[in-house]
Amino acid sequence: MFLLASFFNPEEHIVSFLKNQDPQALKLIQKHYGRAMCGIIHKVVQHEALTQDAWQESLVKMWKASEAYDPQKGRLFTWMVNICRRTAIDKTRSKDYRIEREIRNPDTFVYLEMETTESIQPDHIGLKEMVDGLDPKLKEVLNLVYFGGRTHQEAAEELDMPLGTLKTRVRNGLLELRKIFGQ
Amino acid sequence: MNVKEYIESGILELYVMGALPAEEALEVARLSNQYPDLQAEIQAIEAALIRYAELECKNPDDRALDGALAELGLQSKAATIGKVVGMRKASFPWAVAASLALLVSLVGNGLLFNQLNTAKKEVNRLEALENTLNQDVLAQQTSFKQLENQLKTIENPDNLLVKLPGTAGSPNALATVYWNQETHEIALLMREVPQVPTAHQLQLWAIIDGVPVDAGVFDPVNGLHTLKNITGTVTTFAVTIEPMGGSVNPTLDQMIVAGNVVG
Repeated sequence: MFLLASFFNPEEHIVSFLKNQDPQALKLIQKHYGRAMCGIIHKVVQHEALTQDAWQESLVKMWKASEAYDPQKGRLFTWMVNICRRTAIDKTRSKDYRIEREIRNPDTFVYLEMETTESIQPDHIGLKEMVDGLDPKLKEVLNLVYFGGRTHQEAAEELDMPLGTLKTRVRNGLLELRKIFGQ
Repeated sequence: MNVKEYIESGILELYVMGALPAEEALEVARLSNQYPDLQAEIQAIEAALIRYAELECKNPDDRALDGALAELGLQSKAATIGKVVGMRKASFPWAVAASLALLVSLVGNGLLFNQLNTAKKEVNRLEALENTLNQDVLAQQTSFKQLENQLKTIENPDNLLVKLPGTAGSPNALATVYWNQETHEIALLMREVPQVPTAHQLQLWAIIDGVPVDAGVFDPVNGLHTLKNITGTVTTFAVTIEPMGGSVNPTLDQMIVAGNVVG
């Protein structure tokens, strides 16, 4: 029964494991949010090995900062996204990042591309195409806020659009995604 | 507060993505505890965002988790791998003792390996079972929600009820129209649906000023069907069998049920 319940509401379990400093918390985070968080990090750093590094760092940070998380003040998901985005953005400013980028000569580049193509999840192929087909105007706003970690004010200024337009586009982008994912 | 307007403003999306200033985020958190509709919407947004990001994940595996657990000094696979220790020149009896110990350890490892495999198989079996159970529960929840919604439609006090008994051609058929006088929505509960030729559907007609108006087409199955909204003074509702997709005018000799609006 425990497994069943944790499938439906992993959030509560993760929060209580975190509070009790039970390593099970990190395992559940990996199981339920691991792929999404890696996706967000990868979108920022655009590099496989550095994504793994940043994800590991993020998990460590979550563990250490768990005392600071208050479920009354925000979603667990949002909290984790914030940690991952910050870690990923820091990564792009690090020495590792510059070195990795520099050694991406044509040979390694081909290797990386191949690695990427082969490991795409088969059940994602159709969805990926549908998501790629989203209106670029909606995707631009969504990606800037979601992956880029901009506040709505910052995004509106950067894209030079009224706050209202930005909010509408974010909402519409999400509605399109929900349609695609059947949610 | 107008929950619908609040949801449509896009603020919940920004909240889940962490793009609101702290004060506004606190306000959303507070309201979401108060209004279950907001909570449900937030969960749907979060689920979509998770799946969206998952598409960007190229290598889903547990390397980072193992790394993090090891880094934090918590148990992990990495911890069970013994350290390689340098050996100095060993004397003969010690070498024999060490070899024997190694032999014992190898046999022991073999046994443990077998046990591990059995345990792994058991874990796989239980995981499969968990998935099946989860799917069952989801299916049950979906059908329960459906029933709940149907009940809500039927029980609405704004409804005008119209009974449509079977015609001479199909005396056993029976339908009830639930016509919401506020929203003008129409739901039809079909009972004892008669035999319908293949590639045919049923169509509801509302007779307004003596003219039959199309009120929607539905499949010939028993149960609740949500049809088109109808406004105006309806004298009679009737259902006819029509070719797939419905007709412009009703085929009168194919009428299966009909009833007059009272009041």
